[in-house]
Amino acid sequence: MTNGGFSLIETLIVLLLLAILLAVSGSLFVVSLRAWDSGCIRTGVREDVSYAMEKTVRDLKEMALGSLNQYDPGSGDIAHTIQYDDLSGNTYVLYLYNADDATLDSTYGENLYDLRKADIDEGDTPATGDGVLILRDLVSPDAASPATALTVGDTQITLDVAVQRGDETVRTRTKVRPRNL
Amino acid sequence: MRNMRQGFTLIELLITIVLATSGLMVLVHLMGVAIFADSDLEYSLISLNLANEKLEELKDSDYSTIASVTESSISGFPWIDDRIVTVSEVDTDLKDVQVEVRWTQQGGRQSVNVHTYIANY
Repeated sequence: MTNGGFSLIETLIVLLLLAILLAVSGSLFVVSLRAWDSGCIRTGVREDVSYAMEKTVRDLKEMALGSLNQYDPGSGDIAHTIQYDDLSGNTYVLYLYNADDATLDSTYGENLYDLRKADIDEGDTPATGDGVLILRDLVSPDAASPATALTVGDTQITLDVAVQRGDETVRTRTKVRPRNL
Repeated sequence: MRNMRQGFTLIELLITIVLATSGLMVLVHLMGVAIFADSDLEYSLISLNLANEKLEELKDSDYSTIASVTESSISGFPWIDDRIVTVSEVDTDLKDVQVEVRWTQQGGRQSVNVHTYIANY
Protein backbone atom coordinates (compact mmCIF):
# COMPACT_ATOMS: atom_id res chain seq x y z
CA MET A 1 0.00 0.00 0.00
CA THR A 2 2.63 2.51 0.99
CA ASN A 3 4.64 2.28 -2.20
CA GLY A 4 1.72 1.59 -4.50
CA GLY A 5 -0.34 4.09 -6.50
CA PHE A 6 -4.12 3.75 -6.14
CA SER A 7 -5.77 0.46 -5.62
CA LEU A 8 -8.46 -0.39 -8.15
CA ILE A 9 -11.23 0.27 -5.64
CA GLU A 10 -9.79 3.70 -4.80
CA THR A 11 -9.63 4.64 -8.43
CA LEU A 12 -13.19 3.50 -8.97
CA ILE A 13 -14.47 5.54 -6.04
CA VAL A 14 -12.63 8.61 -7.25
CA LEU A 15 -13.92 8.20 -10.78
CA LEU A 16 -17.45 7.74 -9.48
CA LEU A 17 -17.29 10.85 -7.31
CA LEU A 18 -15.74 12.82 -10.13
CA ALA A 19 -18.44 11.69 -12.53
CA ILE A 20 -21.22 12.68 -10.13
CA LEU A 21 -19.72 16.09 -9.45
CA LEU A 22 -19.08 16.72 -13.14
CA ALA A 23 -22.62 15.71 -14.02
CA VAL A 24 -24.09 18.08 -11.43
CA SER A 25 -21.90 21.05 -12.26
CA GLY A 26 -22.18 20.28 -15.96
CA SER A 27 -25.95 20.40 -15.96
CA LEU A 28 -25.88 23.55 -13.81
CA PHE A 29 -23.49 25.03 -16.33
CA VAL A 30 -25.76 24.19 -19.27
CA VAL A 31 -28.75 25.72 -17.49
CA SER A 32 -26.82 28.89 -16.74
CA LEU A 33 -25.54 29.08 -20.30
CA ARG A 34 -29.12 29.06 -21.56
CA ALA A 35 -30.12 31.66 -19.03
CA TRP A 36 -27.09 33.68 -20.04
CA ASP A 37 -28.09 33.58 -23.71
CA SER A 38 -31.63 34.68 -22.97
CA GLY A 39 -30.22 37.36 -20.65
CA CYS A 40 -28.04 38.71 -23.46
CA ILE A 41 -30.99 38.92 -25.84
CA ARG A 42 -33.20 40.59 -23.24
CA THR A 43 -30.48 43.13 -22.46
CA GLY A 44 -30.34 44.11 -26.12
CA VAL A 45 -34.11 44.35 -26.32
CA ARG A 46 -34.29 46.39 -23.14
CA GLU A 47 -31.79 48.94 -24.44
CA ASP A 48 -33.62 49.22 -27.75
CA VAL A 49 -37.02 49.56 -26.07
CA SER A 50 -35.67 52.07 -23.57
CA TYR A 51 -34.34 54.28 -26.37
CA ALA A 52 -37.47 53.95 -28.49
CA MET A 53 -39.86 54.77 -25.64
CA GLU A 54 -37.85 57.75 -24.45
CA LYS A 55 -37.52 59.21 -27.95
CA THR A 56 -41.12 58.58 -28.95
CA VAL A 57 -42.61 59.92 -25.73
CA ARG A 58 -40.53 63.11 -26.03
CA ASP A 59 -41.54 63.61 -29.64
CA LEU A 60 -45.20 63.08 -28.87
CA LYS A 61 -45.20 65.36 -25.82
CA GLU A 62 -43.89 68.23 -27.91
CA MET A 63 -46.34 67.96 -30.79
CA ALA A 64 -48.19 70.99 -32.16
CA LEU A 65 -51.67 71.85 -30.97
CA GLY A 66 -54.39 69.82 -32.69
CA SER A 67 -52.09 67.89 -34.99
CA LEU A 68 -52.62 64.45 -33.45
CA ASN A 69 -54.16 61.92 -35.81
CA GLN A 70 -53.82 58.54 -37.38
CA TYR A 71 -52.09 58.36 -40.75
CA ASP A 72 -54.46 58.48 -43.70
CA PRO A 73 -52.87 57.96 -47.14
CA GLY A 74 -56.27 58.69 -48.76
CA SER A 75 -58.11 55.46 -48.16
CA GLY A 76 -58.98 56.06 -44.51
CA ASP A 77 -57.14 56.02 -41.20
CA ILE A 78 -54.66 53.20 -40.69
CA ALA A 79 -54.72 51.49 -37.31
CA HIS A 80 -51.55 51.60 -35.21
CA THR A 81 -50.15 54.69 -36.88
CA ILE A 82 -49.59 58.08 -35.26
CA GLN A 83 -49.41 61.29 -37.25
CA TYR A 84 -48.44 64.60 -35.70
CA ASP A 85 -46.73 67.91 -36.43
CA ASP A 86 -43.78 69.17 -34.45
CA LEU A 87 -43.73 72.78 -33.25
CA SER A 88 -42.10 73.90 -36.53
CA GLY A 89 -45.03 72.50 -38.48
CA ASN A 90 -43.23 69.48 -39.93
CA THR A 91 -45.45 66.42 -40.23
CA TYR A 92 -44.29 63.03 -39.00
CA VAL A 93 -45.85 59.59 -39.13
CA LEU A 94 -44.99 56.75 -36.75
CA TYR A 95 -45.95 53.47 -38.37
CA LEU A 96 -45.27 49.74 -38.35
CA TYR A 97 -43.48 48.34 -41.38
CA ASN A 98 -42.57 44.92 -42.69
CA ALA A 99 -41.35 44.65 -46.29
CA ASP A 100 -43.24 41.35 -46.69
CA ASP A 101 -46.53 43.03 -45.80
CA ALA A 102 -47.16 44.44 -49.26
CA THR A 103 -49.75 47.06 -48.41
CA LEU A 104 -49.77 49.55 -45.57
CA ASP A 105 -53.24 49.07 -44.16
CA SER A 106 -54.96 48.16 -40.91
CA THR A 107 -54.19 44.45 -41.16
CA TYR A 108 -50.83 43.19 -39.97
CA GLY A 109 -50.35 39.66 -41.32
CA GLU A 110 -46.61 39.22 -40.74
CA ASN A 111 -45.08 38.21 -37.43
CA LEU A 112 -42.78 41.13 -36.67
CA TYR A 113 -42.75 44.79 -37.68
CA ASP A 114 -40.37 47.73 -37.44
CA LEU A 115 -41.48 50.98 -35.86
CA ARG A 116 -40.48 53.75 -38.24
CA LYS A 117 -40.79 57.51 -38.18
CA ALA A 118 -41.41 59.09 -41.56
CA ASP A 119 -40.69 62.76 -42.14
CA ILE A 120 -43.50 63.60 -44.56
CA ASP A 121 -42.15 67.04 -45.47
CA GLU A 122 -38.84 65.43 -46.47
CA GLY A 123 -40.78 63.28 -48.93
CA ASP A 124 -40.81 60.06 -46.87
CA THR A 125 -43.54 57.62 -47.90
CA PRO A 126 -44.66 55.19 -45.18
CA ALA A 127 -45.92 52.72 -47.81
CA THR A 128 -42.36 52.09 -48.99
CA GLY A 129 -40.79 51.93 -45.55
CA ASP A 130 -39.12 55.37 -45.63
CA GLY A 131 -38.01 57.11 -42.50
CA VAL A 132 -35.91 56.50 -39.44
CA LEU A 133 -35.94 53.10 -37.73
CA ILE A 134 -37.03 53.60 -34.11
CA LEU A 135 -37.44 50.01 -32.93
CA ARG A 136 -37.36 46.63 -34.64
CA ASP A 137 -38.94 43.23 -33.95
CA LEU A 138 -42.30 44.46 -32.69
CA VAL A 139 -44.93 41.76 -32.44
CA SER A 140 -47.76 42.23 -34.97
CA PRO A 141 -50.82 44.05 -33.59
CA ASP A 142 -52.90 41.15 -34.94
CA ALA A 143 -50.98 38.58 -32.87
CA ALA A 144 -52.36 36.98 -29.74
CA SER A 145 -51.35 38.75 -26.52
CA PRO A 146 -48.87 40.23 -25.97
CA ALA A 147 -49.29 42.25 -29.15
CA THR A 148 -48.11 45.71 -30.08
CA ALA A 149 -50.75 48.43 -30.03
CA LEU A 150 -50.35 52.11 -30.87
CA THR A 151 -53.62 53.75 -29.93
CA VAL A 152 -54.53 57.37 -30.65
CA GLY A 153 -57.22 58.93 -28.47
CA ASP A 154 -58.50 62.49 -28.42
CA THR A 155 -55.93 63.76 -25.98
CA GLN A 156 -53.93 60.66 -25.18
CA ILE A 157 -51.73 58.15 -26.95
CA THR A 158 -51.10 54.62 -25.69
CA LEU A 159 -47.86 52.92 -26.64
CA ASP A 160 -48.17 49.20 -25.90
CA VAL A 161 -44.97 47.67 -27.16
CA ALA A 162 -44.10 43.97 -27.37
CA VAL A 163 -40.71 43.10 -28.81
CA GLN A 164 -39.85 39.54 -29.72
CA ARG A 165 -36.32 38.40 -30.46
CA GLY A 166 -35.52 34.70 -30.53
CA ASP A 167 -37.62 33.06 -27.85
CA GLU A 168 -37.66 36.20 -25.73
CA THR A 169 -40.55 38.66 -25.55
CA VAL A 170 -40.35 41.94 -23.67
CA ARG A 171 -43.48 43.98 -23.21
CA THR A 172 -43.93 47.44 -21.84
CA ARG A 173 -46.60 50.08 -22.02
CA THR A 174 -46.98 53.77 -21.39
CA LYS A 175 -49.26 56.65 -22.25
CA VAL A 176 -48.54 60.17 -23.42
CA ARG A 177 -50.63 63.26 -23.09
CA PRO A 178 -49.23 65.81 -25.54
CA ARG A 179 -48.51 68.98 -23.60
CA ASN A 180 -50.04 71.40 -26.09
CA LEU A 181 -53.45 69.80 -26.51
CA MET B 1 3.36 7.30 4.59
CA ARG B 2 4.92 8.77 1.49
CA ASN B 3 7.87 7.59 -0.50
CA MET B 4 9.24 8.84 -3.80
CA ARG B 5 7.48 6.23 -5.90
CA GLN B 6 4.04 7.19 -4.72
CA GLY B 7 1.49 9.18 -6.83
CA PHE B 8 -1.34 11.13 -5.22
CA THR B 9 -3.08 9.70 -2.22
CA LEU B 10 -6.81 9.31 -2.27
CA ILE B 11 -7.29 12.12 0.20
CA GLU B 12 -5.21 14.50 -1.95
CA LEU B 13 -7.27 13.67 -4.97
CA LEU B 14 -10.52 14.16 -3.09
CA ILE B 15 -9.37 17.58 -1.86
CA THR B 16 -8.45 18.51 -5.41
CA ILE B 17 -11.88 17.51 -6.66
CA VAL B 18 -13.65 19.46 -3.91
CA LEU B 19 -11.56 22.55 -4.64
CA ALA B 20 -12.08 22.31 -8.38
CA THR B 21 -15.82 21.82 -7.93
CA SER B 22 -16.24 24.73 -5.56
CA GLY B 23 -14.36 26.85 -8.08
CA LEU B 24 -16.82 25.81 -10.77
CA MET B 25 -19.76 26.48 -8.45
CA VAL B 26 -18.55 30.02 -7.86
CA LEU B 27 -18.41 30.61 -11.62
CA VAL B 28 -21.90 29.22 -12.11
CA HIS B 29 -23.21 31.31 -9.21
CA LEU B 30 -21.64 34.45 -10.67
CA MET B 31 -23.43 33.85 -13.95
CA GLY B 32 -26.69 33.61 -12.02
CA VAL B 33 -26.00 36.88 -10.22
CA ALA B 34 -25.29 38.65 -13.51
CA ILE B 35 -28.49 37.33 -15.04
CA PHE B 36 -30.66 38.39 -12.10
CA ALA B 37 -29.07 41.83 -11.95
CA ASP B 38 -30.03 42.18 -15.58
CA SER B 39 -33.66 41.13 -15.25
CA ASP B 40 -33.87 43.58 -12.37
CA LEU B 41 -33.11 46.41 -14.80
CA GLU B 42 -35.73 45.14 -17.22
CA TYR B 43 -38.44 45.13 -14.55
CA SER B 44 -37.39 48.62 -13.45
CA LEU B 45 -37.70 49.93 -16.99
CA ILE B 46 -41.15 48.43 -17.52
CA SER B 47 -42.33 49.64 -14.11
CA LEU B 48 -41.08 53.13 -14.84
CA ASN B 49 -43.07 53.14 -18.08
CA LEU B 50 -46.17 51.97 -16.19
CA ALA B 51 -45.69 54.65 -13.55
CA ASN B 52 -45.38 57.29 -16.27
CA GLU B 53 -48.47 55.85 -17.93
CA LYS B 54 -50.47 56.55 -14.76
CA LEU B 55 -49.02 60.03 -14.46
CA GLU B 56 -50.02 60.84 -18.04
CA GLU B 57 -53.52 59.49 -17.40
CA LEU B 58 -53.82 61.80 -14.40
CA LYS B 59 -52.54 64.79 -16.34
CA ASP B 60 -55.17 63.99 -18.95
CA SER B 61 -58.01 63.82 -16.42
CA ASP B 62 -60.08 66.49 -14.76
CA TYR B 63 -58.26 68.19 -11.88
CA SER B 64 -61.03 67.51 -9.37
CA THR B 65 -60.98 63.77 -10.07
CA ILE B 66 -57.28 63.36 -9.26
CA ALA B 67 -57.20 61.42 -5.99
CA SER B 68 -55.27 58.71 -4.22
CA VAL B 69 -56.02 55.26 -5.56
CA THR B 70 -54.41 51.81 -5.53
CA GLU B 71 -54.62 49.35 -8.38
CA SER B 72 -53.94 45.87 -7.06
CA SER B 73 -52.92 44.56 -10.49
CA ILE B 74 -52.17 45.79 -14.00
CA SER B 75 -53.54 43.73 -16.85
CA GLY B 76 -50.84 42.29 -19.07
CA PHE B 77 -48.20 42.58 -16.36
CA PRO B 78 -48.94 39.77 -13.89
CA TRP B 79 -45.65 40.19 -12.01
CA ILE B 80 -46.61 43.69 -10.86
CA ASP B 81 -47.92 43.71 -7.28
CA ASP B 82 -49.68 47.05 -7.34
CA ARG B 83 -49.66 50.65 -8.56
CA ILE B 84 -50.27 53.26 -5.88
CA VAL B 85 -51.25 56.86 -6.53
CA THR B 86 -50.79 59.21 -3.59
CA VAL B 87 -52.28 62.67 -3.97
CA SER B 88 -52.18 65.59 -1.57
CA GLU B 89 -53.38 69.12 -2.27
CA VAL B 90 -50.37 71.16 -1.19
CA ASP B 91 -51.87 74.52 -2.14
CA THR B 92 -55.00 75.91 -3.72
CA ASP B 93 -55.23 74.40 -7.20
CA LEU B 94 -51.97 72.51 -6.80
CA LYS B 95 -51.75 68.80 -6.18
CA ASP B 96 -48.69 66.80 -5.28
CA VAL B 97 -48.93 63.48 -7.13
CA GLN B 98 -46.79 60.40 -6.59
CA VAL B 99 -47.09 57.14 -8.47
CA GLU B 100 -45.37 54.07 -7.09
CA VAL B 101 -45.21 50.75 -8.94
CA ARG B 102 -44.22 47.76 -6.83
CA TRP B 103 -43.22 44.22 -7.66
CA THR B 104 -41.59 41.29 -5.90
CA GLN B 105 -38.39 39.81 -7.20
CA GLN B 106 -35.75 37.56 -5.65
CA GLY B 107 -37.85 37.50 -2.51
CA GLY B 108 -37.68 41.26 -2.06
CA ARG B 109 -40.11 44.09 -2.68
CA GLN B 110 -38.91 46.41 -5.43
CA SER B 111 -40.45 49.66 -6.53
CA VAL B 112 -40.12 52.69 -8.75
CA ASN B 113 -41.52 56.06 -7.90
CA VAL B 114 -42.40 59.08 -10.02
CA HIS B 115 -43.43 62.39 -8.56
CA THR B 116 -44.92 65.56 -9.99
CA TYR B 117 -47.21 68.49 -9.30
CA ILE B 118 -50.41 69.03 -11.22
CA ALA B 119 -51.95 72.50 -11.32
CA ASN B 120 -55.58 73.39 -11.93
CA TYR B 121 -55.26 75.85 -14.79
